Amino acid sequence: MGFLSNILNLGLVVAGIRIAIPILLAGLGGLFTLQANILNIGMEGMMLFGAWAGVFVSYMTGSVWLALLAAVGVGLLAAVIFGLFGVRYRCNIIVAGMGLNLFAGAFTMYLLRSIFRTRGSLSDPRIVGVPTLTLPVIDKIPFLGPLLSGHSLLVYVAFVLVAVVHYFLYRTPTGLRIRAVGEHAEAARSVGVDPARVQFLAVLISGAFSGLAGAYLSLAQLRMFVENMVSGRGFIALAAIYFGRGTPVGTLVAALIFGLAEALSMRLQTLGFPSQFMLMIPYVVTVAVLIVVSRLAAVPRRLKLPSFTEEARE
Amino acid sequence: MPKKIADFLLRNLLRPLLAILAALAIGAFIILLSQQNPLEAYSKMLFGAFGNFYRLAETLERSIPVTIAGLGAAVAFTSGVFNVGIEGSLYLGAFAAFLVGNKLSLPAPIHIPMTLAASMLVGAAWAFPPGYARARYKADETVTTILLNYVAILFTSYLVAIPFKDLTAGTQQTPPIHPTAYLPRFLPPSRVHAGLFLAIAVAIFLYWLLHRTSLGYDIRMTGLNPSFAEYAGVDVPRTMIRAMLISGAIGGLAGAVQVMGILYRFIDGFSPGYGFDGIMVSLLARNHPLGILLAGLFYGALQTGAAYMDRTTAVPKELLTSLVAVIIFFVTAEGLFAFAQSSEAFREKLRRWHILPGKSGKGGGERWDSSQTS
Repeated sequence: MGFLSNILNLGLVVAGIRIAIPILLAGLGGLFTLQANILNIGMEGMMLFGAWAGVFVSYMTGSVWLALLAAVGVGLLAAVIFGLFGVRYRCNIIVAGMGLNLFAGAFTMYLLRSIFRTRGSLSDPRIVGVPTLTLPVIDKIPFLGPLLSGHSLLVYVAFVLVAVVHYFLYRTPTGLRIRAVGEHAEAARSVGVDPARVQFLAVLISGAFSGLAGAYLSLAQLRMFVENMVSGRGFIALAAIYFGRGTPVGTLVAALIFGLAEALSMRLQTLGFPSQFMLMIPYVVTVAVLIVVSRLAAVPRRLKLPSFTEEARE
Repeated sequence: MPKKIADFLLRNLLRPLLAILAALAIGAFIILLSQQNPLEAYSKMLFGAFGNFYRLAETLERSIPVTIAGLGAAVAFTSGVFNVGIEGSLYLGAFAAFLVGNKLSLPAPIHIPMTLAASMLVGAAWAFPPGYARARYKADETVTTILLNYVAILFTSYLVAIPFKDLTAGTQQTPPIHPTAYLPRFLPPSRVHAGLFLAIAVAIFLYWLLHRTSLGYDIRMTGLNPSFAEYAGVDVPRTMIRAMLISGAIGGLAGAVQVMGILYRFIDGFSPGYGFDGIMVSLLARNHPLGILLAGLFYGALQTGAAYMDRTTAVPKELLTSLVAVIIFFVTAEGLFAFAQSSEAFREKLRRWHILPGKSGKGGGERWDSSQTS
C-alpha cells in the first residue's frame, strides 16, 4: 500500500499535466490539419523551430513575450515551408513533413553551432522562462491548490485554447470550411471554397500552435534548448488527435492520458525498473491505441485512408 | 524509343541535378550570411568525399548501410506504404546479427549467410505488425512505424545495458562476434567491406523483383492506384504486407552489415540515423533500385565530405544535412521544375524561352504543367 501511494499521488497528476501540455498544444493545432484532411507529420519540425526561436529570442532580448511571439512566428514560417511544398507544389505530404523534420533537426543544430559555437544544448541564465501563475484563492485549498495553481502560464493558455479551438471549429464559418474541405473537397469547391487555400490556412494554424508547443518545451519545461528536444512529441500529438477522434476535448483527454503514462514511467524508473522499458511506455501505448482505434474502424471516414490532398486537387 | 530515353533522363537526372544545384546555391547563401567562404567550404567538401584513396574509401564505407536502408525503404514506398520504421528494423537486425555472430561458432561460408538471414528475419518480423495493421485496418503506418522506432532503439539499449553487456568495456556494448561472421574487407587499410557487393546485389534483386515478377507487378500496381489494383484482381492488403516484410528484412540487413563489416559487435545507439538517411536516399532516387545505388553513393559522399568540411573550416556539417532536406523538397515537388518532366514539357519550355523555334502554348507540355489534373 505504501508502495502504491508512493507512485500514485498528487505529484504524479501534476507532473502528468505538465508533460501533457506540449502534446495538447501541438495536438490542438494538428486538429485543423487533420480536419482539413492533411496528414501533418511536420509538427515535430515546427515544434523544434518554435523551441529554438523561443530560446534564441529570450536569450537575445530577455523578454519572454517577444520570445513566445517569435516561437509562434517561426512555427508559422515552418508551416509555410510545409504548406508550400506539401499543398502548393504537391510533394507527397508525408515526404514534405519528413523533409521539414529533417530540416528542423539539422538547421537548429547548425544555428546552435554557428551562432553560439556550442553543440548539444544551450542553457544560459539570460534565457528567461515563462512565468508561473499562482491562482489567488485556490492556491490555499489543500488538494486543489497544488493541482490547479502554480503552473506555467502556458498551461492555462492551453486549457483555454481547447475551448477556443472547439468554438472555432464548430461555430465559425472558417471552421466549417475547414471541416468541409476535409470531408469532401469537391463538394466544398462546388460552393466556392478553394480547398488548397483552406488547407494552407489549416497548416498555418497548426504551425502557430506547434511553435507555441515548442516554446513550452524550451521555456516552461526546461528553460534551455537541447538538440532534437521534441523527440517524437509531434508524432505523439498526432496520435493523440487520432485517439481523441479528431475533437478538441478528445485530444485533451488523450494528451492527459499520454502525459500520465509518461509521468508514471518516470516515477517507476526512479524505483529501479529498467529505464528503457519505462521510456517505451508512451510509444507502445500510442501505437497500441492507434491500431485498436483503427481496428474498431469507429474513426470518421476521413481519418482512415490518408488520401491527403488528392481529393483537393482539380 | 529515343523519346522514352529522353523522358527518363529528364525526369531522373535533370530534376535531381537541378534540385542539388538549387540547394547548393541556398547553402552558399547561408554560408555567406555566416561570413564564411562558400567556395572554400564546398571545395573542402569535395576533397573530403573524393580527394584521395582514404577519403573515397570512407565515402564508400559510409554509403553501404545508407544504400541498403534506402533499398528497404523503396520496396515499401513502391507499394504505397510509407515505412519509416527502417531504423527500428536496422537496430533489431543488427542485434540479431550480433546474437548469431556471437553465440554460434561455424565455418565462415555458413556463418555469414546464417547471420545475415537472422537479421533479415528479425527485421521483417519487426515490420510485420505495422504492415499488418496498415493493410488490414488502415492504421496509419507512418505514425506507428515512427513511434516503433523509439521502442526498438530503447529495447536494444536495454539488451546492451543489462543482459548482453560487455563488462570489460567502458561503453555500452556487447562482446565481439566471431571472426567467422566478419564480412571480409577488401580495400585495406580502409574498412570497405563485402557489404558493398551485398548492396549492389540487393539493388539488382529488387529491380528484378519489382520489374520482372508478378509480386513486383502487384507491388507497383498497389502503389500506383490501390483501387485499380484491387479491381484488377490484386490482393492489395496481402501485397502491402509482403512489401513491408521485404522492406523490414532489407532494413535488418542494413544493420547486420554494419555489425559484421565495421563494428564487429553491437554498440548502443550505433546508428546516427542510417534508416532515416535511407528514406531520403530512396526519395532522392524516386524509389528506383538502381538509382538508389547512385543516390546512396551521393549521400555517403555528402556525409563524409561534410564531416571533413566541418573539421577543416568553420562551417558546421549540419548545414549539409539541412540541404538534403531542401534537395528532397525540390526533387519530390511535382509542381516545381515541371519542365523537367517529359521531353514535350522541356521543348515547350525552350520554346517559351525562344531557344527553340515555334509558338508556345499549344505543345504537349501543358499537360505536365502544375495545373495537371489527377
